[in-house]
Amino acid sequence: MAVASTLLTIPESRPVSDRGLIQRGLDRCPLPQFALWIAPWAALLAFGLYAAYLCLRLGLNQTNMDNRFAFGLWIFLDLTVIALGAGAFFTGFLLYILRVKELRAVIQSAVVIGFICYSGAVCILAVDVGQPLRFWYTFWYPNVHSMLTEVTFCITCYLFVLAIEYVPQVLRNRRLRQAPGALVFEFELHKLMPVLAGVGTFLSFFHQGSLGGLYGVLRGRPFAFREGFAVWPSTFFLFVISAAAVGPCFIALITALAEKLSRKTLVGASVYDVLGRISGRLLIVYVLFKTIDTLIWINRTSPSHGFPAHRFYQWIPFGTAILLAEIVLFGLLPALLLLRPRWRARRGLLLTAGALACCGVALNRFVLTIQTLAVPTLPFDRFLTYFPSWQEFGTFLAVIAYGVLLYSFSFRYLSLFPRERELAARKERS
Amino acid sequence: MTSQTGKTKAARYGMVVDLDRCNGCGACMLACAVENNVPPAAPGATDRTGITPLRVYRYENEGRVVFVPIMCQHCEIDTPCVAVCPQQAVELDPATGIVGQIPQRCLGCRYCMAACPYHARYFNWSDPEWPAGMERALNPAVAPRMRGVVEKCNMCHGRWHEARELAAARGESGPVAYTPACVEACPARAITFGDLNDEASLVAQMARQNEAFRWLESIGTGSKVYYRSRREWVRESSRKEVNGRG
Amino acid sequence: MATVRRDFLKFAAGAGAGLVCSPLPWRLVGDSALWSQNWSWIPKTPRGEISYQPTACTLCPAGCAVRARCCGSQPVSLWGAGDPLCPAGLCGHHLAFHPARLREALHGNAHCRPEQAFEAAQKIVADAGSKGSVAVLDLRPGRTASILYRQHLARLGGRYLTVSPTIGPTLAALAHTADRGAVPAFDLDRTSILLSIGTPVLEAWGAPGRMLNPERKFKLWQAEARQSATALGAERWFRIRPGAETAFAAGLIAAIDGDRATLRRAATLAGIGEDELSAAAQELLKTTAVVVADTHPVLGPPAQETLRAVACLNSRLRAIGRPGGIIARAETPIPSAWGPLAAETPLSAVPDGSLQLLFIDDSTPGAPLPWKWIAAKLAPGAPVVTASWSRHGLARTSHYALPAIAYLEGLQDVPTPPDASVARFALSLPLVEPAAGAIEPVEWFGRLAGDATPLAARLKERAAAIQAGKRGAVRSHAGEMVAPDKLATADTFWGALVAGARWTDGPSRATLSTKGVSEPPFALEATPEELTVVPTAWFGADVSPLMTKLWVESDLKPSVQLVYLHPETAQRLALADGAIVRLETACGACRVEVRVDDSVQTDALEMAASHAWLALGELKDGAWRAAATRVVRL
Repeated sequence: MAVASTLLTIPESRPVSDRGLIQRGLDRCPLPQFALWIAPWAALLAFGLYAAYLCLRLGLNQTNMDNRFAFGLWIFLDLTVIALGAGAFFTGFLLYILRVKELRAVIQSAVVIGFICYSGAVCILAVDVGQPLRFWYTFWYPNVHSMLTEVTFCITCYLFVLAIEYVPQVLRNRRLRQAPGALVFEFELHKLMPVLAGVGTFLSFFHQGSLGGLYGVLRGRPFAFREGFAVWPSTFFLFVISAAAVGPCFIALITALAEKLSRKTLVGASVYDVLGRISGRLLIVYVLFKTIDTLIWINRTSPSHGFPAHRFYQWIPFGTAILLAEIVLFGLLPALLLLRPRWRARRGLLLTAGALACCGVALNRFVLTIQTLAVPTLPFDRFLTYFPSWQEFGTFLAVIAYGVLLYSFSFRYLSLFPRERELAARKERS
Repeated sequence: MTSQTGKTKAARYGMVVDLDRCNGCGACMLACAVENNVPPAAPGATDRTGITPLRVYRYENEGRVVFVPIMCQHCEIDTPCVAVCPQQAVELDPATGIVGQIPQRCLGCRYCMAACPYHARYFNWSDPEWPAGMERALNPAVAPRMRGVVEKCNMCHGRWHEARELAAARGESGPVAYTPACVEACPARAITFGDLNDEASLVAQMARQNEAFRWLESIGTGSKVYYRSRREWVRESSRKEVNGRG
Repeated sequence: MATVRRDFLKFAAGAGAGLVCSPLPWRLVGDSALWSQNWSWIPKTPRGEISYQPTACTLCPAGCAVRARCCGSQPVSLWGAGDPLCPAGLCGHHLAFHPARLREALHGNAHCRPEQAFEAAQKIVADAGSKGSVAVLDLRPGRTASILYRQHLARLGGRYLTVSPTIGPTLAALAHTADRGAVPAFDLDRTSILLSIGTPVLEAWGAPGRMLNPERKFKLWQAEARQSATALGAERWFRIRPGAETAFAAGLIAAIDGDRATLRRAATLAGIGEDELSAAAQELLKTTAVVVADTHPVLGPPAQETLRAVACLNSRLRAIGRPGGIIARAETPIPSAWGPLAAETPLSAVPDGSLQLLFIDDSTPGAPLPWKWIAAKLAPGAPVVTASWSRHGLARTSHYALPAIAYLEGLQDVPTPPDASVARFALSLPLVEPAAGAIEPVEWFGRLAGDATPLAARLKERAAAIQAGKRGAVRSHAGEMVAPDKLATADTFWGALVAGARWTDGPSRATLSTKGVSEPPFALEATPEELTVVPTAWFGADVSPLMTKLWVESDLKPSVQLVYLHPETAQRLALADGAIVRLETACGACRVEVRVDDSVQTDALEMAASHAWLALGELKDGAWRAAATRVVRL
């Protein structure tokens, strides 16, 4: 059959082979080549783990954070990866609740991406807090008024949900499915999928929002403080919309990257179109709300606290250019690119727009984390700057390496893209 | 706390700091460090990573100088740090008005430090280290903290406890009078401390005067540490929009 | 057989539910909480009975009464008894643990036998005879130990040296006006205006609790080139040009005398308007005013010409011999059995190269002293033996360094402070054991001079002499008067002192005359054109590791790595905040970072008083001054 002809013929006598672990019918590079790809990322992971070890062993004086910059690179990265990983819940929501069938092609990859993002964020948090062993205090003595309590609960629960969604994929691996009960377990879990998707959506909505709420409720920081609806500041909703908008972009980017690196077509073109279209619409909504919110903040919220907004932008490099870049260059522009079908159809433009949107979200999280802390609040305060130490960069790079490694292993040994075989056969025929 | 009759008036301990008297000697900073077992600077510490629960700032404006001691302002309106702590490691004690930090509960997430506009909270970036033998000279009434937790001024809560026990032993009830370390130490007697709920107290009277003001009044934190100065430019700077230095 | 898996699952679920209802998981949860709160390397606080012990602070001549809160026998905090303490006083109990403490005898920076220094010194004393070539430099004059040094030196025919006169340069300049047996003293309780020319009155002069007291009776006028903490806290600040202290005083004198020409010249040099000077002089004349120009802890005493002008100004203001001005007071009684005492000589008056042996009593933390100044006085090969609290500073450059007993470790007394109107006597009671090998410097030198009497015995003798004088009053540590009948004998008097009581003298009937007080004209020098470096506020010695709170962990005090420039100076030199520069003078150089600061004086650079600053300077006119400075951008 066509499948047989597409099998890579690996001599049976070759001693080192993981053919038995790779899904039947899937075309993967030889193990030595894979090892060559993995090696530098593994080294980076090892280096990063050492940096993290130093921080855990010697204390957070290994970082360049200080009493003024209580949050630094790690918190900024946590927020960014969680926003980028929102594709997991949103794709699930779109597929299982709104029944956007094209997304079935990427849902598994999205779950892996989500799992990587959330588990990576949790690992960084474990290093970032001063007393990681006390993590359970938040569950034991929760503060119902605190956004961070909400974030902790929801992120932990959602990570659990993602794990439950990821486990079936792992269990479907060619070798593992032979274990007794694995398939049964996987089947049972599969039946839960829509429920899990619903739960995941609910949890994600709240923690994406609460992450925004973290900054919006800071009355002591007029730069970040926003008015809102009931107990939820406007940043709550802006974070949800921006995360939902950017999640699909990130999935598209990762899928394109996987296609490029594996030199295969993994999804149909319509998937990109759907992802781009959804992103574009959400982005334009986000840009609209963000603009309104910024105008309200400039004209009402900030002055009512005694701080004219323009005063926050008088220091290099945090001038008004940053605000404009965030809303226009990294918000409006990608939204427009993604909204027009003709532009969306051009893969290069779509991916560029996706990258711009992801940068926009990163910039937004950066501004709220770093600029909030950099600007002075008291007259005898100073504008201060902060640059992370190598240990902070190292830990961050460890998470990147971890993500690449986990995704690489998932791609190689699991069937992340259900249409891969079919598209490969079509390509072979044409 | 309740007495036999069931009802006791709560105290609201506050301060009035006279900026015209403060000459920036730093005695209060050292008395606070001695009283609260704050360790000396860790290797590599700077003014951004040091622990100074009470810190005196030198504010210079067009050649005029004022020294401003800043400690936790014990905000009582939607206390920013209390609202944001994920595990209730800080609480506003309704009986005293003191915002008390519980370092043993603190996870070290530092969200409260981001929330505090007065920069009154300090993180233990390193394990505390005292020169050999100096731990014998620690104050027995206060537990040293470990690295990874946040600490701040708690109006010498240990001294309040001691005063309360003595008062209870004498059979007295009601708000107790005590003196925090910085108030006792100031050579210029610049800090006045007491129960703001007691209208007749000196601190309550001073807080009501025209020369009294609070920093960041516009944010509405309900700070219980008032400052006073006869110099208009000092009071004006507390109302002026932020301009910062540097 | 039933399926194993299902049974196993049922068992596991049941076990899980049962476990949750047992104490085990909650216990583990609680234990991990305790475990994460009590790491073994976090020190445990001491346990013991809390008590309050009386003593007195010897960290500066103010000698404030101290109430030490002790846990068991260890002081855990120090508080003022009566007047509050200064920052150094609050953490004086950390001196015993300071990493910089000198704990072993050193010879040229290497460990040596403790007796080595004594043997070397003994040999020189035997050879030197009474030629005046053996000297003691007492860096904390005014104590009973200081009297004992003078006694030993009288026997050895040596010199007793101080950096600055014990009663202060302003009063020392008027010492010749006092009756025999009396010395001049400020009568600040009845002063209306204290005019200070460059003296750090609110920082390092009298007791801070007294100077900073909001109910202080006198108004302070400060004439100073920079906006020091004293200038800020003064009721009036005259921003004079640097080096124009003499001109300022001379200007006031000229305004009083009606000498317009001198007034104009002085006003120009001082940078103060003629009208302002005249008005100030008139205001001073109308009330009880007195002028002080005393030693800056780092700069040293004012110039001789300034002291002459200040003496004349005090005379013009009729402050000499008048209540509220400068009055005569008796000295604290000295037992007549102690025999003759060597006179006090300023270090700058010693001929260069004339000393065969110099003993330095550096047992109290103080301002850094330039080694060059001392080295100039030594004959070739002459050793310096320093009894010091610290491994740094003088101990590092001396030939022999001996660990000294410091504050709270030995029985001492406190001198009469520079702002006191009557003599006083109080004991600084020891609260901790000194380190093994630490010496009481005056006992060591006494042995050298052939007198092994312990200091405690001498203090008792002095107390007996005071008691025998039947003058003055004694107040307990809590401030209450002690009835005279409780002080009827020397023993009861000593018992009161050992319980923390303090003796103050009664008023003296001695008088001061105005004969021989300097008269104009005074040499008015134009301030040099070139840039010089002046020290910023001296904020007390590094008594405790906690003092990092003031300058490492905050920016309250100037950092020793910075130099501060007025914006005009910075503009002239084309330097911005953060620039790294090298300051070069004829005497030395150092590398610092620039800070631009409005409050700094306009035509000088300012640095924290430190060894780096000392290296730039030279001894001039009895005081340390920075030489003309070149600023090199790096």
